[in-house]
Amino acid sequence: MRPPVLIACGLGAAALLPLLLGTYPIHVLTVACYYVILASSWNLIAGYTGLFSLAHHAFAGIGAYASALLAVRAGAPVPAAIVCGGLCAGAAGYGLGSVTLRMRALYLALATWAFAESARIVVSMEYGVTRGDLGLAVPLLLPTSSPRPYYELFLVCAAATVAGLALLLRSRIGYRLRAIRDDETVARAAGVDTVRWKRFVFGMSSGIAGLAGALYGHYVGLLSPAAMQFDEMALIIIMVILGGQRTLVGPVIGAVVVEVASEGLRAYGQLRMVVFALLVLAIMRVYPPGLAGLGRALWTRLRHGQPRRRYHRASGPAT
Amino acid sequence: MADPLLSILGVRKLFGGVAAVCDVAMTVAAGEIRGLIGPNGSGKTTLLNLIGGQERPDGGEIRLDGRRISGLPADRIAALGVARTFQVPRVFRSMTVLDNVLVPACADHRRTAWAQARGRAETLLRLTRLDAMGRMEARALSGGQAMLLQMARCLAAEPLVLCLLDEPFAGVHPAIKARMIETIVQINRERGVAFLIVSHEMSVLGQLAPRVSVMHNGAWIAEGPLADVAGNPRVVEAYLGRGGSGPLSPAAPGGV
Ligand SMILES: Nc1ncnc2c1ncn2[C@@H]1O[C@H](COP(=O)(O)OP(=O)(O)OP(=O)(O)O)[C@@H](O)[C@H]1O
Ligand SMILES: [Mg+2]
Repeated sequence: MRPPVLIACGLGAAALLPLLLGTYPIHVLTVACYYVILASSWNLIAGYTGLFSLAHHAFAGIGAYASALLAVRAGAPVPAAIVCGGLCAGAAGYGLGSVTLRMRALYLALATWAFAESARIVVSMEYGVTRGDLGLAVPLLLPTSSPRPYYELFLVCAAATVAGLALLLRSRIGYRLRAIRDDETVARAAGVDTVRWKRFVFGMSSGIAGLAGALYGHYVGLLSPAAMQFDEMALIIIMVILGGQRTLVGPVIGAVVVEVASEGLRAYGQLRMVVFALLVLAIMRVYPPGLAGLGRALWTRLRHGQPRRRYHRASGPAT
Repeated sequence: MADPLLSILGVRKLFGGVAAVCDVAMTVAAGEIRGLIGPNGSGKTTLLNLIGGQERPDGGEIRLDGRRISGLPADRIAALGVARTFQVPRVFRSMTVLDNVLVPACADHRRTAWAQARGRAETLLRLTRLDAMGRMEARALSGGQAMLLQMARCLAAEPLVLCLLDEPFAGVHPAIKARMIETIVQINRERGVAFLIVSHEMSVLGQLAPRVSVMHNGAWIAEGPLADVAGNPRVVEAYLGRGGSGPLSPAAPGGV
């Protein structure tokens, strides 16, 4: 089967799932779609562009709070509020990207983490506006208590995100981002305006995260700063690494597997995170292509009797 | 001589108070192939970094076609037609060999149609004998192949008026080396592209470059046809210390 056919079949099957499943599993899959959007957009900035931002969950939170506050305090219609939430997060991301332009790996990670923590603290402290840890009741997007329309909406949004990223990465912009990831100096020497595209990718990925966060807020109906804790970022990282970074399907698989598994293992509480963390360590050590790479290797083996292309380790010999 | 394409006017670069490049003044004419030689650590790479915008000069000025380029970001300098390779080969390791050569076509200033850029990239890969590896990840290339890939990427730039090549022949097989020389000459003739080539291989420079410039301890010390420069006492002294003799004849060790 060709990939487009495969994708169409997968989407069709996903759309039909509500016919088979009860309310709770559908809710879990809705949340999984939310994480597909977050993981895919983080993969854009961290995987494809090499900017290891640790503020992705904070941008989802910023989008969610901006949208909720617009709807609650200013009475904006929910769809408009969601769009504004995404724009706010995108603008914040663009700003953070501009401030951290010259920072390399570890410093960028630290700076973005500090930003995320500050954002969370501001949200908890400004309880006059955000109601802090008490939680902010948010008007729902759809006038229904059934999870199914939400599931369909999130499914469409997740599919649109992945499709949009696929187009983006195939375009000249995708070349620029991958070139920046591999060697920023050389990308610049080849005429790529690295400053512009690093800001762009920060704004873009944060904007997507903000939209997802806003949408999610108006689905669950209650926001609290807990969603901006670092656990959330860890979860996104786990999903991307487990699924396979720098592939389009990796974060999709990772998000669904991790979300479904962590619901299934709910009884084990925080222990789940330990298991996931160990899994991530093992994958990074033994098989960086992750589940997506594993699937691809199995697929070629099934079709050709042997692996077609050898996988090259990320670190090569020094020059 | 025609108006210079590249003018380096008293350029200086300090690293922690030590001058890596010290008041260098030289010019390169449009369409010229110029050699740049000097002992290890004499500041050749640093000078290329200053021209390409990878480093900012601490003093002096660099002009391209009369327009000041020192202080501009490297991508703006590239947009004016300056491309380069690096002494230690640098390629986009996770991209395919073909995609590496397509990156210049994705530069912000480029408006070339994609099909045309692709055709050009494939031609350059054939020229450098890398066409069979077009779909391989660049990290799989050997050192010499990476050197060739850099060269192909450099020549894929557009506009292209000046190529800065930093030891492009180091570690390259003689047969391929001959092909690279051929390519340089061809591009130079057909498109009038100027080359500034750093190399320790005197025989190659003797073949390629009508004139060479010599650096020593960050300073420009001599310039002229290789044979003349090789007899210059200051150059001899720079290479061998006081009392040495004739290190730079095209037949000297270090050539092919
Ligand atoms: N980033 C840097 N920081 C500190 N010192 C530097 C830096 N780059 C170059 N230098 C110093 O500047 C001097 C000139 O270096 P450069 O690399 O330009 O020499 P070169 O002529 O290219 O030598 P080679 O033939 O060995 O490549 C050297 O003494 C080097 O140690
Ligand atoms: Mg050097």
